[in-house]
Amino acid sequence: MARPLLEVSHLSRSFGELRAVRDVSFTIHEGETYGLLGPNGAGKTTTISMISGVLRRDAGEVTLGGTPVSATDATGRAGIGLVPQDLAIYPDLTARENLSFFGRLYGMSGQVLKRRVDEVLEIVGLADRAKSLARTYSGGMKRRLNIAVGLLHRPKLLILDEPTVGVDPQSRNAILESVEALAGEGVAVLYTTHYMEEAERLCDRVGIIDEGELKAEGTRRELVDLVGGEDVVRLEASGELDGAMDALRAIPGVSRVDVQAGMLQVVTTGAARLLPAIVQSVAGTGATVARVEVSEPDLESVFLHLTGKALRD
Amino acid sequence: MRKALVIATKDLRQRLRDRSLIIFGLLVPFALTFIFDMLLGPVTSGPPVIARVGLADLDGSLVSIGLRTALGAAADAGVVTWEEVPDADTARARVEAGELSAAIVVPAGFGSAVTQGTAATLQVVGNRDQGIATQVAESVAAAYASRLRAATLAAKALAASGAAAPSALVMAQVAAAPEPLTLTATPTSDRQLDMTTYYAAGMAVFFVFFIVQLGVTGLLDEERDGTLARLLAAPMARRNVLFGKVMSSVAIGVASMAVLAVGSTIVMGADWGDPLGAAVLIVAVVVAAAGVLMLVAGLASSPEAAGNVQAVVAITLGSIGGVFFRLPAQEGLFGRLQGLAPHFWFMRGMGDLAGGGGVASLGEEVLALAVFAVVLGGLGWFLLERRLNR
Repeated sequence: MARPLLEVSHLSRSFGELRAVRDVSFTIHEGETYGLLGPNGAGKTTTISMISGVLRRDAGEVTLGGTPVSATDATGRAGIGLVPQDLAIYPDLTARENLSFFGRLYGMSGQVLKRRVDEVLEIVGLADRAKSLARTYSGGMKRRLNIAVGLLHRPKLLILDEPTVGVDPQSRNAILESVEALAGEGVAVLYTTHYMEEAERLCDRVGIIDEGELKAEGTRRELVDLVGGEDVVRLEASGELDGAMDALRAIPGVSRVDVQAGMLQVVTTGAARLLPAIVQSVAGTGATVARVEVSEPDLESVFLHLTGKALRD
Repeated sequence: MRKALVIATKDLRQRLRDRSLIIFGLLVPFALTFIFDMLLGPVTSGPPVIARVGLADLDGSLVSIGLRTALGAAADAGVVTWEEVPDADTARARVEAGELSAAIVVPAGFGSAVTQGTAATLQVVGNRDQGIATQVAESVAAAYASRLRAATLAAKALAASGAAAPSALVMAQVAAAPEPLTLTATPTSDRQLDMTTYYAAGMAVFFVFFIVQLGVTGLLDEERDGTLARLLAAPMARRNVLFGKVMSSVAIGVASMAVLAVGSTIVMGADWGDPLGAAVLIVAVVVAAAGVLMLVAGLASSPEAAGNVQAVVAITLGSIGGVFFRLPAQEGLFGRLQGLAPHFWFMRGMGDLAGGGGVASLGEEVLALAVFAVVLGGLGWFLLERRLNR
C-alpha cells in the first residue's frame, strides 16, 4: 500500500447561513486517482479550493506529505497543481508566456523552466501552437493549456476540477487519456466530476459528496456493495405517476422508488425476476409505459441509494 | 517581492498588448492637448491685445489735454494706439465700422466743470466685438478720471486752508503724471502655466487616472476570469498579488505621463519646468491615483462596476481639480473641495515649477498627494486583501 500523500480531516466551510462543506475527511495515497463525485452545488469546488489553499477553511486540517497546507502558509501549496473548472489562463498571452509566468510563480527559472515548458507543451499537444495567443485557441486547446499549467511544476498532487465541462467529445477523451497517463507516471490526482462514467473510468477510489457532506467513499466495488447488489429499473411512463409509485413500493423486493423527469426509477434486487410485476403494477394504475431499462448497480445507483437523488447537470 | 515583480511584468506585457493603454494613455491626451491648445491658446496666451482708441476732444481745455498725455503713456506701454477724431458722431461711426476699438469722448465744458468741482463726464464708446480692447480704453479713461478726482479734492483742501487753488494746467499734469512707484507681486496663485503646458499637464493627469484604473481593476478581472484562483494557489504570500498590481499600475501611469511630458515638450513646446521636480510630481500623483482607485476597486463588486465608478471619480476629481479650465483661487466650500482632488495638487505643483521652483518648492503638494496614497490606498489595500483572504 502506497503512503498517504494528502490527508484531509474534518474540513468545514460556511458562507453565511449556507454550510457549503461539512466535516469532510479523506485520504489520497501516492499515485492514486481519487474522484469526488457529486452534482453541481454539492461542495466539490469549495472542498478542493480549501485543499489547494485558495479558500480559507472554518475548521479542519489538510496536509500534503505531512506538510500543512493552508491559505496562509505558502510552503505546503508548492506541491499541489490546481486546474480550476474555469479556464484559468490569460487569453492575451501565448501558451509559452502563460506557462512561463506560472512557472516563475512556482520558483522555476532559466533553462529549467524553458525545458519544462517545452515538455509540458508536448504532453498536451500544443508545441506547434506555443507562440500563438491563447485567445486564438479552440475550446479544447484552451482546456489542455489549462491542464498544462497545473502540471508545469511537477506537483505531487494534481487537482482537476471538472476539467471536461463544456468540452467536445474528442477533447474530452484526450483529457481523460492525459489523466490516465499522469496516473501511470505516479502523480496523485484529485478529480472532481458529476459524470459517473468519468469517475468509474479514472478513479481508484471515489468519494460521493452531496450537500457538503461526504456520504461514502471507497473503490467502485466497495461502493456498489453498499447498494447491496441492487439493480435500477427505469420506466419511461406517462399518466398518474403518484399512484404508480405507491403500487411499486408495495412490491416485495423494491427498496426505493423515485421519479426524475418523467422516468420512474425503481431500485430493487433481482430486477429480471420482478420486471413483469413492476410493469403490470404501473399499467394497473392507468399509467402508460413507453420504455423500460434495467441497469446493474453503478455509481449512479450508489448515488441514488445514498442521497435519494440522481446525478445530473 | 520577486513574485510581485513577476506578476507586475506579466501585467505590463498584457497592457502593452491592450490598445486601450495606447489610446487612453497617449493618443487621446496628446490629441486633446493639441486641440485645446489650438482652440484656446491664442485667446488666452496669444499676443497682447492693442486697443485702437479714438479721442474726440470737444472741450479743448488744459484738463482734456492731460488725457492726451495719459493716452500717450499707454501707447508707450504698448497697450493702445490712439488718434484724434473730430467729433462724437465720427468717433461712434468709426467704432461701429470697426476702424477703432473704442473712442473716448471729452464733452465741451469738461475742463471748467473739473476745475469748478461740478459734475463732469467722460464717455467711452466701445465696439461690441472688441470687448477686451474696449476695457483697455475704459481703464485708461477711468484711471485719468480717478486722478482728476484726487486732484480736485486736493484743490478743495487747499482752498479750504486759504492757499491758492492750483491751475487747470497743474491739475491736468497731476492727473496725467505716471505712477511714481509700481509694485510687482507674484503670489503663488498667480504662477500660471502657459496654455500649452497647462493642457498638456491637465490632460496627462486626467487620463492617467484611466490608465492606472486598468491596472488596479486587473485584480477584479483576474477574479472574474478565474486566474485569481491560480495565483492564490501558488506558493507565495497573497500580498504579492496586490503588490504586483499596484507596481504595474504605477509603472504604466508614470510611463504614460512621462511620454506625454516629453512628447508635449518636443512637439508642442510645453514647459514642464525643472525635470526632477516634474518627475517627483508625476510619481506622486500617479501613486495618489492608485490609492484613490484602489479604494474604489475595494468597494466594487465587479470589474465593470469598478470601471464605471472609477470613471465618474476621475471625471469629477479632474473637473474640480481644474484640468479642463483654469479655476480662480477659491475660498469657502469649493476651495475645500478642490483640495480633495489630487489633480488640483498636481496642477498647483506644476504652477510652482512654472514659477521657477524645483523639488524643494513641491513640499506641500507632494505631502497632499502622499496623504491620498496612504489614506485612501491603505483603505483600498485593506478591502482588497480581505477579498483575497476569503
